[in-house]
Amino acid sequence: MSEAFVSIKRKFFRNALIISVAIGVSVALLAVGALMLTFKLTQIEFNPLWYILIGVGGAVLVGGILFLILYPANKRLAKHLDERFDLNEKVQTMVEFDGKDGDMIKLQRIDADNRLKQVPARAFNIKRWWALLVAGVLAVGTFGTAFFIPAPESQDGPPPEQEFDATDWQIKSIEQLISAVKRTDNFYLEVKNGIVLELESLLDTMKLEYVTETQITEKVLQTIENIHEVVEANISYNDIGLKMKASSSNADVQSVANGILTLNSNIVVNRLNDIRESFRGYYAELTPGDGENQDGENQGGENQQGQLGALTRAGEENAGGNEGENQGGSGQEEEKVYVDLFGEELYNKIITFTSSGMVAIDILEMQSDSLYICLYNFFNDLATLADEVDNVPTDTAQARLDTYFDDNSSTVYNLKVEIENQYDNRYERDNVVNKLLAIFGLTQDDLPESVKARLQQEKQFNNIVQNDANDDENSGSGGGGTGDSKYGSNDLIYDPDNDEHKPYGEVIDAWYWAEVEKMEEAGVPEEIIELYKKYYNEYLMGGSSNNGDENN
Amino acid sequence: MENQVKVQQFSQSITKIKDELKKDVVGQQDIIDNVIIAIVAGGNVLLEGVPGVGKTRLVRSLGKTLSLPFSRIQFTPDLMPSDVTGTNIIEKDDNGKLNTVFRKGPIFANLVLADEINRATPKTQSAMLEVMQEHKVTVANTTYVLEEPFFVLATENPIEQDGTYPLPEAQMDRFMFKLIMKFPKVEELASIVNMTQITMAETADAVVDGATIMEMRELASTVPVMEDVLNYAMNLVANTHPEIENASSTAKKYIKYGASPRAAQALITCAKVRALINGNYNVSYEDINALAEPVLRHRIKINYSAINDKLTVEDVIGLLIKETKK
Repeated sequence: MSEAFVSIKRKFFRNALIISVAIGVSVALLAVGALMLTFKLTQIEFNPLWYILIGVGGAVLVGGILFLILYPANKRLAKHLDERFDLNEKVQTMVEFDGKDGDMIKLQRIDADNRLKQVPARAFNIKRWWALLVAGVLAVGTFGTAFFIPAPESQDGPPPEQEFDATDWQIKSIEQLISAVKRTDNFYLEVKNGIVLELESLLDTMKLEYVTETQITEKVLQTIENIHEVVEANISYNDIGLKMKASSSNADVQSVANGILTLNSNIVVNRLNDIRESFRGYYAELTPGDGENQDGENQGGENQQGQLGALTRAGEENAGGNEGENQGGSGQEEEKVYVDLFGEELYNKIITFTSSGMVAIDILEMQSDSLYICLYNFFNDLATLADEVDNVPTDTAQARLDTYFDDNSSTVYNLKVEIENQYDNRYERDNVVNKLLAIFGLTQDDLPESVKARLQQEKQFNNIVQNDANDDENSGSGGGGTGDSKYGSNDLIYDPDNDEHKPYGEVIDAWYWAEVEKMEEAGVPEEIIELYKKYYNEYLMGGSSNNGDENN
Repeated sequence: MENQVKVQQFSQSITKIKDELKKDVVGQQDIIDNVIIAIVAGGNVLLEGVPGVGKTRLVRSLGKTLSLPFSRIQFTPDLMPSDVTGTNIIEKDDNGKLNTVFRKGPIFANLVLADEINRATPKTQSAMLEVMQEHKVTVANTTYVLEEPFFVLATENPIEQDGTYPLPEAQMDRFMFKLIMKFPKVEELASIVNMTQITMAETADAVVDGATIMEMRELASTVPVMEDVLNYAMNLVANTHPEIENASSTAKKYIKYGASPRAAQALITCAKVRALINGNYNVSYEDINALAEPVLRHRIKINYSAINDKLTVEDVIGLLIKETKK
């Protein structure tokens, strides 16, 4: 091959390389810049790695194809040279006959070579180099603009949320829950209807066509909150319990308040029973009954009663008749009389017991609550009885006492049942709520703050009450208004078989079985009855601190 | 290099020939060039022109320039083949013995001018076929080889068609070129008149001889032709045929009969000579295109569509050239 042709070919190769690289890189930068700009302006997320791949790939592809097109193959170059410089196919003939022998062929080659040498070197420079420059500038400009231009602030809201698609299992679970709520007996009717309405509303929301995940979660939590509200709307003793608790440090009041708050019917019942028994004990002290001490006690009691009555009547007489010194006297004198009659300790107990209860009741504001009314009346009556002890004959007092406690046993029983029902409502409420959480994959942490606060409060009081219950078990006293057992072997207790008061030790068995029978009739839970039995068995074994000393 | 010397000599010879011919023939440069090409290529030329344009003078001058014996045959309707080729006659020798002697006809020359060949009968015309093609004469089973270079330049008068016999296609095909000698320009006419006022005789001198022509012919045959140019020439000839597969649109529309393979041979052979004459060592597309008309004009027959469209055969050849892809 002629030297001139080889030299020219080298130049064309260089030019092809330069053009290919320049155009390839320019196209790549242009493409990447355009893409980047488009995605930035439309706020479409695009992995930056793809830009690199597109850029490199595009440059290689475009540059490669262009190089293949521009590559100066001998024949193509020869044709180009012949046409461009009007060489009458000299170069093509030379290329075609390259390597062949013949004088004429050699002459032809020389002639072609000479002719090529006459072509000026500048003829092989890149024409329109300015076009490459413009392309490069355009490409770099586009890429730079796209790279450095800040993305516009999004005027759209957050990306569309995932739509909630209720599964068949979820829908069926809610339907089953609704059916369970309707069937259960643990809800008040009003509560049941309210909860069913809430669950049906939730079910309707689940079946809606366009509901987001957030919306359905909010609906579930709202349903839970509403269920709590429905239940609490029919349980009205929270304030009672809180205020009672806050009103007095008296242990009886505290215990009753705790019991109300925690719906621990057993505690409440025990407390109320303790109050009743305390009162009986007080009465027994005031009016010694049958048995060993009966005559004496009765006599004493009768004497006391008579003395009380005499004193009272003397006060009245003195005041307006024969009532006695103390009756028409000053409060301090009256108090002195009571102290002399009952003994200072017993007197203080009565005063404390009644006044505490009255104070607790007095500060309560929820007059419409049935439980409140029951408690109010109960304490009121107890206070009234305490006041009237010295004004009535023993038998009358006894009868009135018995009647009162019988009446109040029902009241206590009703209260107990009421508290149990309300406990059941809450218990069932929690079951419904836990099932809702499970159906929608939520946890306790997702509950509304108001619900969490309520549950926390309930838990705290449960702990307190449980401690009280444990204390009661450990003390073995069965609970007394003043803490430890007030009952000693000499304490009088009502004998249900003979309908008379006898020393505790003589009638405890009868009393024990009477209590068990009554609790079973009232439907007290089995575990509570067992607890009761356990307490008395320990007592009979003589292990607990019976407080005959205290009472005395 | 030996060939380089030969090429130089070739160029010089061509130049000399042209210069000498210019002395006797005014203008008609294309004709002269093509005639020279035909001679060097070893072909025959059919010259068409009105009377008095210098057809005979050209051949005479050519004969003098090339130092080749020249003869002129005036074709008439009564011309017999033997008048062209020669015939056996009986002669008495010195001893009085009768012998048969072949008396050569005017065809036995290196340069033959067959004037108004279209006036001869087909029989006489056919007598020229063998001679023009094979450069041999066969008379009474005896074949006489003509001396090379052998060149026939036949003429046709396009005006007088009465009493003429158009040359058959087979004979036409044996002419390498058909050249049209046009009426000279005014200034050329003036030159002709001035020149012939001095003398009517040809004043060209001999500058080359027959051997030189043969060498030139041989040299020209070595000129390389690249494949694309060769294919171009072949396609050009093929495109003159309307009946072939993928025939050109021009052929389909305007041509009745296409050129024979001799046209392709003539194109390449003459193109080589032309290239060398022009100082090129290879055949180019330009050479093919330049020779397309003289080579093809007598070998293709245009149809009535062309006539109707007022197209000449040259126009059709031009269309073919445009249509043929390089």
